[in-house]
Amino acid sequence: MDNEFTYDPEDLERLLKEKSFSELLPEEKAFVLQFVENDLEYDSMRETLESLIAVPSIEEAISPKAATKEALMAAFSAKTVENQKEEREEKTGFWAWLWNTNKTILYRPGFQLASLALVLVSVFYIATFSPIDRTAQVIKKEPSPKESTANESKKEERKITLESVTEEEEEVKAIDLITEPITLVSEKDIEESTLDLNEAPELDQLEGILLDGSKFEIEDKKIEREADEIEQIKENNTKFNYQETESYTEIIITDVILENINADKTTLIYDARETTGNMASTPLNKTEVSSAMFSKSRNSLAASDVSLSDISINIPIKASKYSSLLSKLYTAQ
Amino acid sequence: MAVKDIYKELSDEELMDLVKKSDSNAFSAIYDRYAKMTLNFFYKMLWKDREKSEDFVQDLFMKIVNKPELYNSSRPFKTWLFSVANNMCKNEYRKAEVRVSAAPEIFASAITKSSNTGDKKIDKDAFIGELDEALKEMDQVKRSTFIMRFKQGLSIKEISEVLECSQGTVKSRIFYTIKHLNKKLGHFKNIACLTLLLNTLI
Repeated sequence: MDNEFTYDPEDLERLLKEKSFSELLPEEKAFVLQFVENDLEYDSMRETLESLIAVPSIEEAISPKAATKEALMAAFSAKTVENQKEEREEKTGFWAWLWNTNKTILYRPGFQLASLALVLVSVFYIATFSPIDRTAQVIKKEPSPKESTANESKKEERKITLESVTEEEEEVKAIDLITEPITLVSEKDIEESTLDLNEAPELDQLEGILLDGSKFEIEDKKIEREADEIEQIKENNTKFNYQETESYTEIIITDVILENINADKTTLIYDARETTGNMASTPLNKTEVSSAMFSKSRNSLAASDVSLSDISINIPIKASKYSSLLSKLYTAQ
Repeated sequence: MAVKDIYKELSDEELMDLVKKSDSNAFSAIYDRYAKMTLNFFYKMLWKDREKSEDFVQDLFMKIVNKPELYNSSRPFKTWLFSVANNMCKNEYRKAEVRVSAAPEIFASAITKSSNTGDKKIDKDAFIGELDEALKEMDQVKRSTFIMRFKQGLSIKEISEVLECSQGTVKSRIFYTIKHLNKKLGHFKNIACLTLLLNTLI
């Protein structure tokens, strides 16, 4: 039999529409009875389907209100005007001028302006945020031979050498502080001193190597040791015992800590080793640091004639002048 | 030939191409072609709420006004339009589910069911009322399939495109819907005969 049906449940609607149960072929009946209970149900479904198909014709169809179309047409017109305006702006507006597609990219104003802005920003950045800061400029300064000679002679007497300390090397580069065991700098000293790092070559030399390998040297007058100051300390501090000896003490700075770096004045704190004239070195313990000053004390100082117990040293430094260097030192440590 | 007549002869897809170019006559033509059909679809799908159906038709065509480019010309416009309409109904059903759960008494059936006494009365209004009630009880997919098939006259192929399923699935859904409705409406008979009679008399 040439049957166009596939005998799937999908085709039952077609059978229902076209044939009553009695009109079905035997194989169609067999197929239909897989999905309906009996011939009565099939014919009942057939009638229902006919009714359902007829419903639209007996059911009242509704029509949209005229106002709906009017509102839509008005919205369409408004949208059209809006679109036309946007198109005009796209063709004639600022952005259209900026990215004029009729020109090659090099001649488009937008590209040219962007390039100019990039150049200006680069120049500004280089001028303002150059990685070579003032400290580095100081580092680069090489002393003249004459100055070097003069400085060398001073170093014999009052030499300060600071080299950075690296954990890897485990090597202490020394700062040689000369003669007196105490370093005291008053604010007055700082104010009177020449703080311009590029001047006053006669001042003490502070030089060293930072962890990044760069060398620096600073002419500084802030560290001065005056006998009368020592005497004054002796008078003011009963715990201070100072005995004049032929030996001199070197304080070898092994650590530098900077506090209150953003303050107008800051405090340089250093942990140090102190050696006596015979160069026997004894570590100094760093004690708790207060906000304004630090105290350093020594638990013991073997073979020493000098006792520095409970002596507080406050070294005020103009933060604006030295913060860069000190922060670098701090970082290096 | 009048301008409007020219538009009437254009296909849906050609009209939509013109709508995309801001042709208001094309939009008017496409609206005239489908506004009534979609209104009745919404009307059947949305519990015969006339006002809501009008709003939905307006929203549907506003989508075309605002973003005609959403329609892809490679697809038949009619099935695309019904897809959008069907999705709008789905969203409304979701909202309705929330509302029903919040205030079920508001959405309780207002239609008093005719008693199933087994009487073979011929009452087309009652038949339509019970049919609506039976449709309400169906899930959304079967209801939309049935309405598109028997109320909007969409072909099996068109329905399958709207619902994004195979034609076999659509046919199968229709069969089981008929079977379900037969149980619900089996006591009504000869509605078709009555319709034919009425049409003959009119």
